[in-house]
Amino acid sequence: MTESSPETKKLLDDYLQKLKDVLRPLPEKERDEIVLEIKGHIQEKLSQSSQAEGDKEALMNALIKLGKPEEYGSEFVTDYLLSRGIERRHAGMIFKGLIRWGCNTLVGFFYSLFFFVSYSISLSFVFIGIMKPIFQEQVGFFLRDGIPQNFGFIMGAIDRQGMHEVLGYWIIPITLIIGIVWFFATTWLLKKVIRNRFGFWRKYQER
Amino acid sequence: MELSKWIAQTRKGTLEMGILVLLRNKRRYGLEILEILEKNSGLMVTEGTLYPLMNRLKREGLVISEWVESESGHPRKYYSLSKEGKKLVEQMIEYWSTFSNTLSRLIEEGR
Repeated sequence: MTESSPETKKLLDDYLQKLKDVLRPLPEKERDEIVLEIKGHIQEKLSQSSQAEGDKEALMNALIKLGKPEEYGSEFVTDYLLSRGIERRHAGMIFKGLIRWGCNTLVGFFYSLFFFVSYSISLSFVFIGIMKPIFQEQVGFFLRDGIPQNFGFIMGAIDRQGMHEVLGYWIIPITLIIGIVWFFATTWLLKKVIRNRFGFWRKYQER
Repeated sequence: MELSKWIAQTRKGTLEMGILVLLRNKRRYGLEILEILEKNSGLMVTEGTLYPLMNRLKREGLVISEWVESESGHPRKYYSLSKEGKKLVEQMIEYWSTFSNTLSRLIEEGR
């Protein structure tokens, strides 16, 4: 059934356009290739369909079996962002990839949450170190009667009676080192998780 | 353990192997792979799973693809194993035979 009515042609075009929109973050060449492959798949399905089955009906069946472009199309994009992001050390791509992964699956959601929290913690340490010279009185490691009370900031109306700060300017190198080590540990873990997602992930190869 | 959950996990783990094994000696295109898997295996894969998976296998460097003009008029994207993929598939097959033999022996042992 190569000849199709304008109605089915429009249905097919709309579907492929939708897919193309979903795949927008991909490089043009990759995007076009996926769309062409899916288009070929649909046309092949149509040419297999029996005469009894109407043109439109056959197309609808093929599209339903494929599913919504948003669903499987998003898989292509997540794979692209995560693998390419890790390879290029591109934080923005990894960030976007994680958000997508988090939106699509429950496992992805928990992994993403974990990594966002972990990166925030590492940045907080660095932040404390940077703030010490500016807020000398408020930043530090505070003890009361030998018991740790607060690490980092003490703001506002907290009762500081009997508290004393023990690290002084040593807090700067300590927090910076912890923050940086934490950051790299998180990145190392992230790479492991993404490799795991890609099964026998080796190296992105453009062919 | 729920049976359906166990089956789903086993399928998921073997789907990639199923695809790579099909490409062992012959290049094939998406719909062809899909039809073979649907017809004679419990691997149960849908279009929406297969195409992203093929893309991922390509990204991993295990398969390569080429466009071939078909007699039906539209070009088909054929997949075949890369050098790395060939090596992996032989290792997988070897592992699988040992693994299934071990399991069969254990089943006998448990009788």
